[in-house]
Amino acid sequence: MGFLLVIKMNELIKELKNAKTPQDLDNIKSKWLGKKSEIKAQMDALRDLPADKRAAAGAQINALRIEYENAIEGAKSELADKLINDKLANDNFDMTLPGVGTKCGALHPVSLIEEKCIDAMRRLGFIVATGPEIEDPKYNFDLLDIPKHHPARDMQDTFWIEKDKKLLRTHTTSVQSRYMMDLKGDESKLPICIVSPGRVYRNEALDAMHLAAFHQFEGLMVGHGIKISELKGTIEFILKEIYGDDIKVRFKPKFYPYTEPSIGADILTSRGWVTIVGAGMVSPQVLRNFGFDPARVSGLAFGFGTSRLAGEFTGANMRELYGMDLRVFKNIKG
Amino acid sequence: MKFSKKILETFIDLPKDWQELMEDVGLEVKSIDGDIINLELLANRGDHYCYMGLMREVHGRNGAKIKYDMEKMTIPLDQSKKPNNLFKIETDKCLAYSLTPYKLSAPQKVRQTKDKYILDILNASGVNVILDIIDITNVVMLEHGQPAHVYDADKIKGKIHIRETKAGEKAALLFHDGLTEIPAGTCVIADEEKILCVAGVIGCHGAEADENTKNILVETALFNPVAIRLASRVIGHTSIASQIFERGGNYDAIANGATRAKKLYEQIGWIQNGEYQITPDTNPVKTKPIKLDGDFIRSELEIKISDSEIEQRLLRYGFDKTKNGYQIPAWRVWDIKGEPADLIEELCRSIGYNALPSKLPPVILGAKKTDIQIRKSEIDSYLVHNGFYEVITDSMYSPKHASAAPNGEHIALENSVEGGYAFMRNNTIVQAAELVGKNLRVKNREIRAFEWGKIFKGDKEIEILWGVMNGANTNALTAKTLMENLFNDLSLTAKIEYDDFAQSAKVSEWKLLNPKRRGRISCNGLGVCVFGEIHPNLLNEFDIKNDLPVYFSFDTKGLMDLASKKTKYNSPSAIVPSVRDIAVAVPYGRNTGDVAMFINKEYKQVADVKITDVYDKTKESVRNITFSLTFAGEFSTEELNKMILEIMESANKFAKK
Repeated sequence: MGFLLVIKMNELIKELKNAKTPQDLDNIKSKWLGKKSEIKAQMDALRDLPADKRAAAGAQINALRIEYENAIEGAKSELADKLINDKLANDNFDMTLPGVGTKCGALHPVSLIEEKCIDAMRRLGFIVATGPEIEDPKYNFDLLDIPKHHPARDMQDTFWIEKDKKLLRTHTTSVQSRYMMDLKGDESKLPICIVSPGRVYRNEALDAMHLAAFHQFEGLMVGHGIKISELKGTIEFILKEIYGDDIKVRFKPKFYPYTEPSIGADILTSRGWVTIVGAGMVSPQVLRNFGFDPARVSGLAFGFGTSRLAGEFTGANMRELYGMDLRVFKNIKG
Repeated sequence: MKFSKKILETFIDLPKDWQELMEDVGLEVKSIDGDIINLELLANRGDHYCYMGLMREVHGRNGAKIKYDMEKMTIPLDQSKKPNNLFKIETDKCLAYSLTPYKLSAPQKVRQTKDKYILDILNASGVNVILDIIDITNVVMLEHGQPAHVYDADKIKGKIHIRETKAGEKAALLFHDGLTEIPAGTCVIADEEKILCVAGVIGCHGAEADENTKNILVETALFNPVAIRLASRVIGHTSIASQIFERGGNYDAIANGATRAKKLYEQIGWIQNGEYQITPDTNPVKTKPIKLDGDFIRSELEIKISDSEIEQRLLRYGFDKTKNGYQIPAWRVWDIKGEPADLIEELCRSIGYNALPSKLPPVILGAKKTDIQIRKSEIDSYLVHNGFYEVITDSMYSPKHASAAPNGEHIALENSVEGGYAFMRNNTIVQAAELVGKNLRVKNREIRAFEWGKIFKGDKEIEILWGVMNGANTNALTAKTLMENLFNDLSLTAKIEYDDFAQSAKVSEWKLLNPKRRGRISCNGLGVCVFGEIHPNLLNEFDIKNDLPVYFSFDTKGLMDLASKKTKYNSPSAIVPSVRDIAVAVPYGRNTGDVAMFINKEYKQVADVKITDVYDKTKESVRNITFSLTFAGEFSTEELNKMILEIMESANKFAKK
């Protein structure tokens, strides 16, 4: 029987090699180990052997069955691997095709700059103040010491909705005006630290560099004992937040009607020194206009154009940034 | 303004780092072209528009030696002690006035300027070289900051009057054709017959000097800055003279300029021909001395500086120390208001802002984000992750936009220089359509854009969030899912209504949405959003033919004010749910959503109803809908089959009603 079994084993291996599918292997298993298999018949025949030979014969058949099982399982494993490998090899999927689904959009570059500045100033305790865009000249000009016919009004060509009564704000300083007015000169409410980002308007002819509306970011701190050193420190802080710690900053005299002293802050760029920030200590008369005594109360104020910064950072011109062509924003995002 | 560096160096020594110094005192060097330096001057400083102004600024900063010798450069005038008889001031817009008569000492034919210095100083600042007697007035202006004017005395009829124009009065302005009407109330210099000059702005034909002139009157004066500014604007003419006067002139320079003019006129053969006549009050702008405490300066600037150094620096700028404080120099009475802060500013400029200390203000605790800021960030994030780009569009628009707007009431702009900005927008749906049109024109069909902005209605500025979407897989239902998910993301319970509702002023855009493809979302009974496909009529306005862009608009205040719902956690059921599909034929005109609501309402065993397939049978005007029903609880197959049949029958019956 031993010789016969060896021959049978070779026969099984041959059949296994010819198997193409898992079903073929299941059929082979059924044939060689199933109820109608030869090995099952031999197991059944054991009961006809003498008792003293039955154990040895049983062990031999069992060993043979295990060999068959191992051979079949091995073949199954090999076939499974082969099928997977064949499937992978024949996979014509093209991963270079574009991804499916919605791609992310982006916030506007001006919003990103604004958020960055607000986040930075929040760390210094500044909160965001907002106000109307259609403004009373009182808040936009008069309280800020820019009387009617003052040359300073020329600096800010104004859209009038009703001459001398209603205008489109020319700067977000009007928000600060309103905030200060609401304090009614109450020193117990000091210090105040506010930033006022937002849209402002200038009535001028349009070109790639000039728009009728753009965005500013202004800050105001009013309290007791605020010094020029703190104005400088605050400006350096925000510029480093925007441009990084290595940025070089310098200060120079400027003129703004509502601050005294008034200063400008330049940063050093590849194009040389470029003025970014206009700032100053709140002028004594402006403090008086809001009911505060400049002998006891002082303030610092600063502002810059977030539209301009967005243009510099992205390379897009103003008309592109404020236009409706979405390709601009896709290209900026890259 | 352009200056010659070489000429400036005849007024004062400049250091090697002169450019840095200029910028440090607020005179920004915009460009350097050989000897010519182009400076951006401070907006409020009329005294900077001349070499002496620059000289004073440099001296104030570093105390450098002043080289301009007034005694050598001027000749004293023969001055009248009597009331003047050459002119009469009839308006308070003229603050001070003077005239010097000259005559030609010997006959001359050619009167072109040959003097190299005069040619250099005029050319450097781009001032036209005209005639020697005229050129001298411009030299006086460029050196001293005192605009001057020369009249041909023989062409003047009677006395000179400094007066205001009457209504309808005209003048023959230089460089202008014909006669120009000068607005009533403008300050002019006139004789008995004609206007000779619009004060401080532009001369006139009639008494202008020419190559045949033999007798002249040379004017130096000081005018009210506002009057000059208004006249300059109305006439549309700006000159160095008008820019000086607008910012405020130097009353000391009225006489000083006249003495310098005398020196220059004598050099070309003109001699004073009568007494110099000037208004009696040569100091018409009264100011009070500014009191200053050294400790205050040291406290404000946080530097060590002695009282004597403070004094020296202020004296260098021309302040005069008196027992009552520092007297403001004549050329600074316009920009210095008399506050200690004025002197602090002078000292800052003298010391240099970069030399002053810098520190952060004391911060007790950083501010935290407000609920509104947090919600805005959440919405931004949601939209960006759904493919939207934020845009910033104009708050103003054209009459074309206004006529397309859903509501005709607009706030108009009175004086826009751009015709495209005639009105404040009262909606954003028109711009949404415009945005789509513009992008389609550049073959960009996949459009998702949003904006936080304002619309303007009556006295109100309404903050809104609006957006528009377009593309191959975009329609009103895409927008609906987007809105539902947004509200879900914000933990807000949203109710969508489709039928028309009472319109408020805030949602006039409703009219410009496709009436069959629009919805309104409310939270807690408050309408906060409208959305839907843009009405074909509006799309036509922007030549949009084959696309169906979807618009949405939120009342931002409403959205921000809503409190997020409190979520309650429920464990998923251990029972595997039974799911069965039913088909319902929904005739056109019947809302599928109503059928779904009917099933949900009528059959408590149905935990969820989903629409999984829609098939339009256009010819039969019916839509076959597959509803996938999820049953709550344990049911046998027989029970489920029985329920399915019943639901299908009643749902079809309901749909047909």
